[in-house]
Amino acid sequence: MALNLSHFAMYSMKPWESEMGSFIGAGDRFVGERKGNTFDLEMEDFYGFLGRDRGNYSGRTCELIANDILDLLPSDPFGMDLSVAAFNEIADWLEDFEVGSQLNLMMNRAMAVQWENGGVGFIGEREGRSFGNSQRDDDLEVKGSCGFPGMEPAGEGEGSCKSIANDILDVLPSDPFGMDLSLATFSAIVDWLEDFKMESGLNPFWWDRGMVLELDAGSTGVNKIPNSSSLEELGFVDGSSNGESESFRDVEEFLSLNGEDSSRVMSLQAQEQGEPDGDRGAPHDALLHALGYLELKDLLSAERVCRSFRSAVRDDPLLWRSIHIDQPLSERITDDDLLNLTRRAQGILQSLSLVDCSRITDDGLRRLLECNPRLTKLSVPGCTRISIGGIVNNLKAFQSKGIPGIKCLRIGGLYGVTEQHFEELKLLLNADKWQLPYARKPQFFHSGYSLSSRNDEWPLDIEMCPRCQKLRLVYDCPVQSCQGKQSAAQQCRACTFCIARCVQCGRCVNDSEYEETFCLDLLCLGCQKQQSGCI
Amino acid sequence: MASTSNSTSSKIITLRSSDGEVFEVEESVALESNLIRRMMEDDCANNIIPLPNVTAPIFYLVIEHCKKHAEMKDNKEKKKELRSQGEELLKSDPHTYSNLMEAVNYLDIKSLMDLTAQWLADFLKGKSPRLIRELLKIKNDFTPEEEAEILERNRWAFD
Repeated sequence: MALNLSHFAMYSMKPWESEMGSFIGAGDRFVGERKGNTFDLEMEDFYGFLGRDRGNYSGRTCELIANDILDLLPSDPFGMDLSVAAFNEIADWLEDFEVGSQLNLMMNRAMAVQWENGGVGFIGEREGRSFGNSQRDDDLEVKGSCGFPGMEPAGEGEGSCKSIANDILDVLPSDPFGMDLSLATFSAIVDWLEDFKMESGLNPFWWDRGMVLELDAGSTGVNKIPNSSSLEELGFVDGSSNGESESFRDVEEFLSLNGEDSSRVMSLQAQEQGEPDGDRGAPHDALLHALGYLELKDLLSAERVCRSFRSAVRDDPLLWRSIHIDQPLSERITDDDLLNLTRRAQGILQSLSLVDCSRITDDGLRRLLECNPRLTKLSVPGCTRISIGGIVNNLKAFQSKGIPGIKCLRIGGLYGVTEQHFEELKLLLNADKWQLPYARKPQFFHSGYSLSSRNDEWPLDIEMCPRCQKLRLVYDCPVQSCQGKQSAAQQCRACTFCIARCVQCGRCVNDSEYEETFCLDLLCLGCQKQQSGCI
Repeated sequence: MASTSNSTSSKIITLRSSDGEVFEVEESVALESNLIRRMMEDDCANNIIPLPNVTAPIFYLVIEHCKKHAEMKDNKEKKKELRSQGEELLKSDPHTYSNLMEAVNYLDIKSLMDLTAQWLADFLKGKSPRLIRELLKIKNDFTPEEEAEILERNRWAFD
């Protein structure tokens, strides 16, 4: 199998290696020091060829470009004739290396820095010109930035990255694949690459495009924060979990390593964006109005943004009056975490909804109820460690001292509910005030409890299934013709065990065509069509 | 902002922004603002209503969105469209967003408050604290100790 050069396009993704950014020097330096020595120094550049592993920062753009130039690339320009095995070995080695070595750190830094200084110089200039502008000096610039030996200009900041480069030098094997390339072959590669660049008019085009795509993603003309947006789109920041992603931290570290350069870059950046140096400050007070609209996880992230957000999040019990815990936090939250969270409400917690919180126990619920006497709505569907017995006991204790007491209880498909439990719950929830079942809103089945959970004020979600007489969630049918039937025996109203229902629209599928999905859910014909987009 | 003439019965309210620009707005639109409603209920319906906390460009935005919001009441597609516009604004110009939010809060327009706040909520969804700072240009004023304390407290949610 020939080396897949289609990923050569990856080079376009390395703007941080331009001569502008001195950090960039990291890459240049690394290559530069070993200029013309052995083949192994090319390995970093091979990331480009084998680029999938590095796709975390460039995947999308790369794909876009790769398609265009695929056809233009020769299949095995160096006559290396690598076997599949050798190819895989290279890929594996790179993967190992990336995981284990300091190069990884360096790459992170380089990436982060690229983000930080993104708008500076190189890109800035580029944006001023048009797409596909193939001016000679652009070419030279590009050439310089690609990080190949013999091409890189002596970056101003080269020295600053020496420490990193040196570290890495020690870590790299000298010829990991035993390719034993001669100097001649090596120069041939270099030459070929150079030729390729100079000859193909394509080069400046895709290069430019790569740049612009990366740096300008999602900006809307004003372009004040192109870097951060592109950063996000390229998946630098996983955004969700670790909040503080490594690369971010590394920016600071790295900048502090290169104090002088960083200030230069910062001021350049400020110039570029036409904004004063210290444009960051306290958040606008208006932003605090939106905190109440955030989901739990985002609210916890907001708390970590700055002091004013923190105090707004912590000191406002109203934000915590109603707590809803769903994916992805539901699997993580423990009894203690939940208790701490509800303390933020300072005793005014009114509504608590725990969907699929598999680590919350009966005992946790007991402690929680003790601390939150004003709770009126409790929903625990899919909380597998909570038992019906526990709920009944907790409720007994709570209703005697809770101020209004629980008015609405949602237990979803909790197992083992007996008639006795049901009667006790009805008593505890003031069943005498219940209206007749006809007065309630119809309940339609839908995948995911959160959507199907009754949002009316009905005190308890389960009831006796008219068909099997078991205590379960009972659903109505959205189909008009089914609603008309009056006699209870005929009514299309039962638990999902008695009447199979479409997971999308909730209609009965007993008599009509349906399909079983991979998750063993049922899908009616209408919803199938809708899903496949041929309505 | 000139009114459309097809609604003959609608009254025109004149408002003046903090930078002196005068706006003519249909009463039905103006009454979306509880602040203006209260002012009119008091006595100043016949005069120009001053809005000392809102500049003209922001007021344009407010009016524009009020109208869009009124149009989309029963239109799910438009609703989606309007909801997705926030991201653009927040990405390109968080400062204007803040001013808009402030104006909406000051004018006390419930529907726009919901909309603009939802914009931010959608925008921040799943983002890390640091990214939020970057995007909204907020300075990190925590000491390392404070930062560690918050992280420890919420560790369960972020690991």
